[in-house]
Amino acid sequence: MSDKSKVVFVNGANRTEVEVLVGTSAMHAATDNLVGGIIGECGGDLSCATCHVFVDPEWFDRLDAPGVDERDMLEATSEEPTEFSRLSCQIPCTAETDGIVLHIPESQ
Amino acid sequence: MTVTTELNDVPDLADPETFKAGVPYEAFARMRALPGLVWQPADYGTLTGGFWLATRYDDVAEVLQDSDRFTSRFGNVYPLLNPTGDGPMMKQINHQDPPAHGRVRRAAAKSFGPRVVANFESWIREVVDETLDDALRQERFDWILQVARYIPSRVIAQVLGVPLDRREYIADATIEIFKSLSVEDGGETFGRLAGQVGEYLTQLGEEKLLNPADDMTTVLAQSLQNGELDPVEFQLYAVTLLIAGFETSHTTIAHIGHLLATDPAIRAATARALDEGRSAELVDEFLRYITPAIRFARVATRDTEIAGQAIKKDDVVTVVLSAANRDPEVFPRPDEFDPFRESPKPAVGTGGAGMVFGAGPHRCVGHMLAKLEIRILLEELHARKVVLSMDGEAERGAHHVVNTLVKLPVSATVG
Repeated sequence: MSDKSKVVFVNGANRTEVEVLVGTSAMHAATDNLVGGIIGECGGDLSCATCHVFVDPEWFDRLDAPGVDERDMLEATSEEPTEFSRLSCQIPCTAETDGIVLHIPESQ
Repeated sequence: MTVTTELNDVPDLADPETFKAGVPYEAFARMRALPGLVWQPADYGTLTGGFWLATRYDDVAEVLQDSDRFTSRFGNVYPLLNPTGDGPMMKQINHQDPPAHGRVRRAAAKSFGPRVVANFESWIREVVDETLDDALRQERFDWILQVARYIPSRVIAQVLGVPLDRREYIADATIEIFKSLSVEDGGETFGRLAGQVGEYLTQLGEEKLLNPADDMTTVLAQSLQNGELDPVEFQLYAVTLLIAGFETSHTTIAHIGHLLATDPAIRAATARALDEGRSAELVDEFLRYITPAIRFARVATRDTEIAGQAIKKDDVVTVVLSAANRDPEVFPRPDEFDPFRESPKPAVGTGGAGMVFGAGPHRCVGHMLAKLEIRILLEELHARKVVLSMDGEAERGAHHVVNTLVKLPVSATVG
């Protein structure tokens, strides 16, 4: 089994594919690869709501449900959350998420 | 690499009196241009006999974003308020690192989110209107007393659910607490004064549990009740929101009055920005240019390096926001007030206001509220065609942290 996992970030017309070590958070997958629009101000402390993504509906149910702290912080995002909203610092990249598609909110 | 460290002909940056003459931008510019970091000896308030000064934007961001290497535990300002690391202040959010910090911060963070704060616009505009109505009844008045203190104390009182008749108390108590940052007693005076306000807020929290309201003290009291916060964390967090919510907005508004009264170019740029509907950029530029909190501090948790400078475990690094916000690498022509900057968007998600709200986990939770207050004030001054001029001398205070103005006699004409 590969120790790498792929993440696809979609920001408007831009589509960026990155490959990271299994266990890396999707937020770090973005910030370590200079993907625009994922700020990750607090570094993954679940304190800032600047790594908001809309998970592609096809992938959403394959993730564990967000915890209560994450749901709280989703109320503090710059863009209105939807049923597919997550904070990407809380999404670990695994074999199951290999190829996951994450849409970046425009206003972030 | 180990590089230089001490500089001649620089004012003593361990002495609050140095800042009375003004923010020493020229000294910061010289430090920024040197390799490594500069060391300021200090016989008090640190763990190793002095502190480093980080003055470049990227160095400041690096320190603030890495709480593994640079802890807040011993204090977040110089002189350190929790020098033993286990004093009563260790449960204040400013002195907490992840993950405890995140748990406490989340108790109020959602109440400060952009979509929540946007709903504050109409009542904040009423506060600003009433404030200006009162102040402008007089031809001459002290801008600090009549405007800069009044707007943020009323706004934060409303956000926290503190009764309006206590807003003077908030302003007075906060100013005393900030003064105590310079008292050389390892945070004892600070802790005592914060505790007094904390007692009041604990009592208020108990009342809110009986009569819940749509305010922050109710939210925090509920977090205390369900065990997310312990009683000391509750008290110190409520105090911190209160005093931080007042102080920096108060200082920013004070300087806005001073700049509008004394600098025709800033007055003209302000009018143009508002005419062109660019109030967000205008607010960012005022914040960058003023930078109400001059600097913060962190302590190295291990031997490390910043900008090639060897830093020892336990060394204090002060991160000078006032210097980072005048870094020409990030803001070309940094000493010029220009709301129309072409590329005012530095990295690390801090937006056009630069490093004014800090960076990393401790980045100001109330930044949306602060920007909203300032935008509304600028819009209302413009709509009323208020022209300020000086009616005496402005007076600065001596402070390590706050870019403080204590007196601003102005005269005002309207229309």
